[in-house]
Amino acid sequence: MSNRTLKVDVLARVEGEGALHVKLKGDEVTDVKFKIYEPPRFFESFLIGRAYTEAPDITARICGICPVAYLLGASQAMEAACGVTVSPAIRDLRRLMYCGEWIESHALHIYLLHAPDFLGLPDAIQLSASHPDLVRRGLRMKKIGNHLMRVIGGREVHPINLRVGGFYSAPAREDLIAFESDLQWGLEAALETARLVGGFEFPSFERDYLFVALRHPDRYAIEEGRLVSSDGLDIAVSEFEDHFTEDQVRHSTSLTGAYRGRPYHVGPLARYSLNFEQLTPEAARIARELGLKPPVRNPFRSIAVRAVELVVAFEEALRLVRCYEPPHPPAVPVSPRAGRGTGCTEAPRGICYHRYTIDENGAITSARIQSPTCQNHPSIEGDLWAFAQENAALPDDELQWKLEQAIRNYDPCISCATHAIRVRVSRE
Amino acid sequence: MSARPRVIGVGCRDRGDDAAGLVVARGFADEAEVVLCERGGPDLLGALEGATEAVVVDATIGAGPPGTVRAFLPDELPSDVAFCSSHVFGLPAAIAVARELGALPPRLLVVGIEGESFELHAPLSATVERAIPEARARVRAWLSEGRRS
Repeated sequence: MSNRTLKVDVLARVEGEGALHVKLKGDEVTDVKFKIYEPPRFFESFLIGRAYTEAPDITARICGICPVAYLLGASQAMEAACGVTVSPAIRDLRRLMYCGEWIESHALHIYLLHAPDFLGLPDAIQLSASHPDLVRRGLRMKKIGNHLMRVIGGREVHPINLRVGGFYSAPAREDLIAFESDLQWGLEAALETARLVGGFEFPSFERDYLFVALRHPDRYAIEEGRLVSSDGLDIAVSEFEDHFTEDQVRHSTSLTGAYRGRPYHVGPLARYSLNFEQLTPEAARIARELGLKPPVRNPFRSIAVRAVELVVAFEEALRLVRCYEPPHPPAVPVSPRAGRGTGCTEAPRGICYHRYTIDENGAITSARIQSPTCQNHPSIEGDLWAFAQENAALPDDELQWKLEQAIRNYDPCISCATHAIRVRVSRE
Repeated sequence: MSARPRVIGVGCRDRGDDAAGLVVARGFADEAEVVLCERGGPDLLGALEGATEAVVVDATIGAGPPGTVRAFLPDELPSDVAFCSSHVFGLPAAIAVARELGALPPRLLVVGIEGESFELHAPLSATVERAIPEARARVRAWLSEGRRS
């Protein structure tokens, strides 16, 4: 019986630093570890004692790719704690900004990080050499997302215009309507993207995921909603901690999530499978054209689902820009009071949960933030275990390559999760 | 194409010496178009777009003692020096992609400053702080050379 260890000590094309170790005894998988080794960042601890108004800007520093997930989650939580409801116009502007974040994140992942896997290429450099027009298209889409973030948020990385209660200032209508032609181009490009990636060859592999996502009564959930699951859960965000836990594991600086003690799956597959009927019209049309029926349980098809969501983001951005009127006032007044508040949004990689308690002066007394990659950590390890077991007969280098892809399926944001990727497969 | 030279600072303002590139670039607002690039590779591609002449400044690991300032032409980027802003993919990959796309500025220099500490939420180390004038002098010399040619 031969022993094999497959290991990747620094995973490529993911956000942050992580590793993968897989051990096999003969053709039996005996151990799988998805290791996150970025140093812990202690955000939840150093929020204690800070003012409730500071939480959005401080937590936005957790991630340069998905800062809106932190800005909005923290703002919602503080608004809930202070008993404040924001206006529909502010909600729409938040959704529009979030579309910008989805566009830049999904375009980056699809074209520069994930597509090379399906085209048999090692990286974006080779992709640029063999398919320069594809890379240009991806970069142009990403740039539109960046610009949207900048116009609404003041800058594209760690935007500075969002606050508890809304925005410091609202962009002028002409500044947003100027995006219309870019967004129209982007919608067509997103449809082409979906056709391209929908035609890739996917490994035959499915898992019986327990999906968890936000659901909004009348739109594809992005910036708010109730929490629903594929086993019938339907709760307010404020009840999250009654059902979901997070635990430490020795091999990772990331906490790992559990739903009633079980692994669960968040992100594009979960959203798509739970909210398919709420896709925007063009997204629904392209999903049907691709034959991408929900639930999608093959994680390698996440690239196609991400492309459909890119269509959603461009369609929604176009709709919101066309009907935009600046909210007056741009923020509702918020006065602190002692209390507990929660917030949750759909970051590009899945739900991002925030909970804070504050005292009567608005000082933060406790904080909990659960990032999507923390929540997906057990699901990622489950995929790796199942895929390695089903494909144990593959040569080591081929198996290792597929296992790396299996991690990239999640577009994991390791920087967010530390509180990463190296791959190692051992055969005994 | 932009006629004004571009000085692109790459790095993260919250990670100690990783901010060195941003600090150097900020000093050129009067003589160049300054672009601050806080997400490394993918955003660097956008920052290079349309420039005819650019200097990219980033922190390095492995280029010598902390505070060492080195300049590289894009074809001469050493494989044993790590540029620090590698969110997803780093500076050398971004330059390679730009080259493949035909989007590399015709005149491009990369200036690296060897970092000492990359602690989260820390300021620049004293060693790197002392190296900032030398890095700026390198950038300024390159810009002057471009104006003469």
